[in-house]
Amino acid sequence: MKMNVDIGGLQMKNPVTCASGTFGSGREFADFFDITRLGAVTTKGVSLEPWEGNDTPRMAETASGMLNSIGLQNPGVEAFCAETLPWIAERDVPVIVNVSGHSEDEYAQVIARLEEEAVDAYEINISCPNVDAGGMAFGCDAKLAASVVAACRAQTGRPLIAKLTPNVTDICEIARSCVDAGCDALSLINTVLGMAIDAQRRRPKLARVTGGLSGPAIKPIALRDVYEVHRAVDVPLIGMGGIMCAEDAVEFLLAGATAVAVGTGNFVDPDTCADVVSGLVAYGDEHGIDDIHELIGGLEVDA
Amino acid sequence: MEKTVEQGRLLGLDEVADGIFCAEVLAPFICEHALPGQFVQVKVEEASVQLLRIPLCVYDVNPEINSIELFFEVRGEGTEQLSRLHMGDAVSIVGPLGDGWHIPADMRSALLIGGGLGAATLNLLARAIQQRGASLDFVLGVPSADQLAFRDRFERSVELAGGSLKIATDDGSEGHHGLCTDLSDPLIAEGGYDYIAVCGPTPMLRAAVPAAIASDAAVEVCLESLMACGIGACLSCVVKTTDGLKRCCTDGTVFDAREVLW
Repeated sequence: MKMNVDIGGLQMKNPVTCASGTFGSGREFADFFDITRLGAVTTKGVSLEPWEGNDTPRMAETASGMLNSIGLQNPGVEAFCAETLPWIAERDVPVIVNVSGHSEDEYAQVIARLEEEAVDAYEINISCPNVDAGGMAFGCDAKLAASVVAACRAQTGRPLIAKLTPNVTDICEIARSCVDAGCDALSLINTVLGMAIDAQRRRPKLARVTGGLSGPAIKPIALRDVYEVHRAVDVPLIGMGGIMCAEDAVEFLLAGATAVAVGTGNFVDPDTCADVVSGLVAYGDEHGIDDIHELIGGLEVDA
Repeated sequence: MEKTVEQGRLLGLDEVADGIFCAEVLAPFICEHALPGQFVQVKVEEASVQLLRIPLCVYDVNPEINSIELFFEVRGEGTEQLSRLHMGDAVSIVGPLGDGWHIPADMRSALLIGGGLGAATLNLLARAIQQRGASLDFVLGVPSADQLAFRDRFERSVELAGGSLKIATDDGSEGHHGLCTDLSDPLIAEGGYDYIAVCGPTPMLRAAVPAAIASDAAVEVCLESLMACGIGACLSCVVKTTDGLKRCCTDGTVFDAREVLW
């Protein structure tokens, strides 16, 4: 089965990438499989200045999932370029750098700096709170989302992917707004807001009280969002949310995703990304499929 | 550092104290590569809602039969499921993980201080120190005498190294009635150790470290943290040090006690 896909100009040899923040810089997984087997590697979010992240505990296990409140800890774009990027950039796999910021200007500055490096595409994490808008997340407001996408678009001609948050009333509205502002593709979903409580100690399990839920528990939410957004916009989608195996990936393709990302699954089995690639090949053989595009958006729904 | 996903097999499972188990797992790769102080991430196959692996230190290795031993206490659904495994069951393990203990090259006299289950992490270290021909003292603190399952292994290493094993129990059922610091502080004050390794619950580490770092010895602590991936990718397990935030699973679990911000 032919597996090449095009994500808004980013050429991937297969539709599998890793979800930002779950794969480190790629190096952490090198002992487990050849990471150049992936269609692309998506890095941890990079901000302008170093961000220390939140106090621990930063994670809590939940039924079929986990909550995280890492807080986008990263060393800032300069240290990223000097210490983190070289290892992955010199390997034969496309690199999508995830970009975070607290203001439109910060996003723009990070991209401007990364334009000087061998980066194949940018994924804009618009779930960050916008300090210029009282802390509301960019991705929760169609106008703010469009504005930050436009600010990024002005900095680069490389493929620009906006990563959508599910914590909104109408994800399609945000999706359309991002596309109108000029992004080439969308990735969805980011984590779902959630909370865990220790009933014995009578305290929240996370130091920051609330966090983002990921893992198999959110797959139904993610599939629905991909399905709806696919019907609302024309750009390619990277679908993610609880993918643990190739069959999960097929579900996202059928719903309308052109590519998929494995996140929490990497923590359960470090080989998961590689297994999804192999599993897609096996699925194609089993079902006699010549080209993966037969699956993309191929869901049959009775009228 | 080499690590892998190893499909192990359960060889034995003993309840050594109430709710405390020792599992022996056939795992040739990890058996060969595990260094003292390293840990593994164990998958609970049958659990329907438990997703993440469980980090357990490598308590012992048996190279003649390619097995490793893991100590654990039943605390939640995952460890509960582990405690109900049967001989021959598949056990998927990621490892060996963590940096392990760093024995100074010219070390001649060591003190190991272990609290509760944390003492299990010191077993391979004790053996390594004894095999180097250094002298070794061991202070072991447990809630009560029925939790001294690993005492025999320490006794063997300590005896061969010509040192002493001192025991403290919270309830006075054996040895000194009190804390292990009641025993370790005076030993350190007597002087002479050039390496001190401490492992146990955080309050115990906080109590034992000050006397250790006031001495001339190199001092290491093995820290615990909530973990998701265990392989350095997710940043859930960070600890504060004088050199900024470090990943407990990869930059540790063993840290220089003078660099940890308590």
